[in-house]
Amino acid sequence: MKTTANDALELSKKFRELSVTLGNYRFENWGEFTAGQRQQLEDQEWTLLNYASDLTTMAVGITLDETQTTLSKIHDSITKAKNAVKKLDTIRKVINIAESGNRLAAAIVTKDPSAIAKASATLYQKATAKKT
Amino acid sequence: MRLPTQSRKLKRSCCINGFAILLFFMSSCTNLGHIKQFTQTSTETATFNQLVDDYVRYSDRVIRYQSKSQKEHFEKEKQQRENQKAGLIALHQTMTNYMTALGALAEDKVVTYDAELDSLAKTLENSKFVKAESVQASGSISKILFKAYTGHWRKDKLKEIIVSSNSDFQKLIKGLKFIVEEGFMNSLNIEMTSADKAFQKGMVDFKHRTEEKQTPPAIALLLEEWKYKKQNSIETKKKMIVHYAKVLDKVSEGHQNLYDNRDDLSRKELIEELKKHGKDLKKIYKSIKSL
Repeated sequence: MKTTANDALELSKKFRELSVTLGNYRFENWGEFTAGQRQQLEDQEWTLLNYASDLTTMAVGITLDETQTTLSKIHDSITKAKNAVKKLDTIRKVINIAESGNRLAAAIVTKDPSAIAKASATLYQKATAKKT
Repeated sequence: MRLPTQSRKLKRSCCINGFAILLFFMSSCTNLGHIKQFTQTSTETATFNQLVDDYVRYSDRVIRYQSKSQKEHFEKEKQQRENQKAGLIALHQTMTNYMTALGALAEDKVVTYDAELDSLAKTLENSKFVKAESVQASGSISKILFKAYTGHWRKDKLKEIIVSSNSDFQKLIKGLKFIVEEGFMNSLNIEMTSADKAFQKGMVDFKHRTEEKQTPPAIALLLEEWKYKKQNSIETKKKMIVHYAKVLDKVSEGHQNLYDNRDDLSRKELIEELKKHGKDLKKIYKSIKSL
């Protein structure tokens, strides 16, 4: 049976609780044990606690693995949104070029040389600009 | 010279029609600034990076309390958590990148366009061909048309992205929340248990070494002082986790609000909801800073 992140975390909590209970017993009955017995019990407590932290790391790892598919799907959405923004920029550029074209046309109609020169320059600028 | 009645009627009719068209386009303009604002407040990263660093460095802190026989375990565990670091950062970064991308799409960048258009309008004014008021009016209509067109397009794209990613986005937030609220929190609880064992051992060991069977007051004071500091440091980290989980809740609720209102992203109730989430997020960030 596959271990879930929740299973790993629940087990981790149980191991920690057991380690705490054993520790309390050791401290409350300190004088009853020999130094060797105390060390043995303490080692067992640390082992339990380290299993608890292993299981926590495992729970985080399982969650990370489970989110991988989700991550790639969201990356697709990010790309879609960025492309949409790029398209908006292009629309903006196209409108600017169209506007500049109109200005040039107006200037040509008026036969105003300075306005024609300015409008031509603007249109050229807009048409060749990479980003507006 | 007075215009013939028919011509005056035609002129009035043209004006009314023109005004109606303008009103139509004005009403079509979409303001999505509330989405941009909400997404901006959802993208704070410093807290999460701090929590990840703390989670990864767990072994360096806890190894001090245990016997040397556990060294191998800690080295292995440290490596495992180091290996997870990039994935953890990527998880949070994906959330913020997504929110930033949504915000950029919702952003009305027409201001740049206005500036361009105004400079072009000046060229037209200089041509002395058309009256200045007409130039401004023509510019305004173009702007409105632009806003109306891109507004609708932007709205449609936003809807498409929100609809297609809501379920995955909620899963991502749920995963992040589990990692932080359960995983990181549990790791801190284990760290506190380790510190407590070391503290108790110190107290009891000293107590049984003395004839009076009492921990020497100076040693007890030092140990208690150390435990107090350790407890405080862990409590601060736990509070940070609680606040960060609240941030995730707000981001999740906000995205769900967007999804629920996907057919009308300019809806008044949605604007209010997002503003409220934005205010709450700012309050949470303030609480994090005060830690």
